[in-house]
Amino acid sequence: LIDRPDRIPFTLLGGYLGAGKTTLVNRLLTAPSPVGRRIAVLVNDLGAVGVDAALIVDHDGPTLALANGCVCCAVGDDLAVTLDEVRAWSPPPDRVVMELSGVGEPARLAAWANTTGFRLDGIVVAADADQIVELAGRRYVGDTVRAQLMAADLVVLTKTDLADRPALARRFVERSTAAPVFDGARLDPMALFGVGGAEPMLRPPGPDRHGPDRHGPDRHGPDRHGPESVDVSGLRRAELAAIVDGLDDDVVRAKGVIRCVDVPALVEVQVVGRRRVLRERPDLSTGHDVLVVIRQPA
Amino acid sequence: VPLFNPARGFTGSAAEAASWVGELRALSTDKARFGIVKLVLDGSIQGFTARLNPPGYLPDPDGGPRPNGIWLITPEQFRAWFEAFHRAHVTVHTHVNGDEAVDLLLETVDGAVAQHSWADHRHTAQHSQLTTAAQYRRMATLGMCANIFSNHIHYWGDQHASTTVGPDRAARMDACATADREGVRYSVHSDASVTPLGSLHTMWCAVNRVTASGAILGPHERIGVDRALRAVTIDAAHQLRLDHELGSIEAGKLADFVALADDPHDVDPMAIKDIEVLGTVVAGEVTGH
Repeated sequence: LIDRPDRIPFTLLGGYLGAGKTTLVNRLLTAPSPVGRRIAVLVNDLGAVGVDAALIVDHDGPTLALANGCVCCAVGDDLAVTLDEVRAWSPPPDRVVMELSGVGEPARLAAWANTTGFRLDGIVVAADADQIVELAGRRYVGDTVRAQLMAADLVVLTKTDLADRPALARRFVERSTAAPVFDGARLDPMALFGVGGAEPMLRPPGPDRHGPDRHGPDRHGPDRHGPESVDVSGLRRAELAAIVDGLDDDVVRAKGVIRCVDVPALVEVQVVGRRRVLRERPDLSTGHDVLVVIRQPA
Repeated sequence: VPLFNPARGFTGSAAEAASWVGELRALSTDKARFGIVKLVLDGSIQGFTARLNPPGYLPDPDGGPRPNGIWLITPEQFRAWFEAFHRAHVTVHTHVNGDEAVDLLLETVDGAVAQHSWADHRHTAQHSQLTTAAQYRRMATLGMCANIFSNHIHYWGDQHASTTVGPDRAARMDACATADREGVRYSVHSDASVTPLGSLHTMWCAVNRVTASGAILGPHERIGVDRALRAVTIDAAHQLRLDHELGSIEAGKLADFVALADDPHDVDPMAIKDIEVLGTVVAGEVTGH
């Protein structure tokens, strides 16, 4: 079962107390109904989520079912039990997003995201631009905060509009992690979780306003905000890997199921910040010639 | 038995939780008593998850540095919960294996006591495995108790000396004699089911400090038999706020006690764990043998 190719993507959302994790979760839960998306959002404290009662269609103990298809679950004392419950859903969720506690260390918890039926999609860490520099040096928790940043595939710098010195916070975070750092104020948070309108949905290749790039992840103009298509037709797997590897640091997500000329199976590409995964999907039959890329708006 | 986990599950405020504990107290029976709370700050030393002050853990087998352990709750959340319980006069037992976790606990108790006077709080450091002499002095000043994990000396003492914290700190782990000297009232425990339940065995560990390999770990931290007896009876009852009913044989207390074949004072200290239990009396009725 663990090697099933269609394992459910599992995102870890970390960050210290007050980093803005709950705000991100709220936006995920209250987004307009993402068609065909059934998302399990695992949170520490259901009370903190504060979802508008009008959106709740069912409330059963630690579980809230929402009108948009999301189900929000409080993680009990035993994470294994909660994950078993999620696995037992019928139909299964399309995606799992787990909010860690303020002192949760993603590197220590990431293994859960690769247990039976799940695959680690990415580690998103939120950092409060007004707090992060002080927090990372604070007694008791500084090492935990630094470990959170180091484990991230991408960091969302939050509350940049409230921070006294957001540029300093950004430079500090950039030096604390190999992950790209995105400004939460300028980023559709839905893109972080690969859901909603910001998800890089696979579209049939074809001319669009800018036209697909040819064999390269060149930037579009600064007005470009939506997903863009990168033409990757007629490539060998190694060439595709090189293009994925060469994607700029401003790429939040990229995804595609690509036909390569030298391997029989289709190749799935999943990019979450610096996490760049290619794997062969012999179970899929419909491939494309484009990689869909979401960048941080300029 | 966790009734609620403030870091998760429980969706009310700290003050609501404190008042809920008050309601639970009313449900107590002769044999099930509610009314004190346990919070957990760190992990375990053998799991490398306890929070240690420098120099931290020994390097890993490849010589690489080991990271410090983990917090189970942020210091801010811990403080909020602790202060709410203290204000409501609910004794809090806090899981602290590492000495950094003890520092955070001491700071928190200091703050709670400064805000709200409650002299007889009996807040207790649970496990208290790496607590230093300076920390015990501060605990004494703050009116705190300790519940020391003496069984660790026997079950993991060799590994603590070789692998987790090294011989110097291992020799001062579970420092009953230091707690005694610095004036902290303490108990000793097995943490069943982590190690087997048995008060005589736990006494034996505290008195002899003999590891599984037969070494004596930190002989200066051994305590006398009389002190060890107190640690598994009246001083344990004290930190559970039950010393008016349990922990000593006195007129007016519950008739719960055990009959031993030998007086622990009279046997070879190494034989304490082997003393035969002739029978037990619960609520005045003989239940064993």
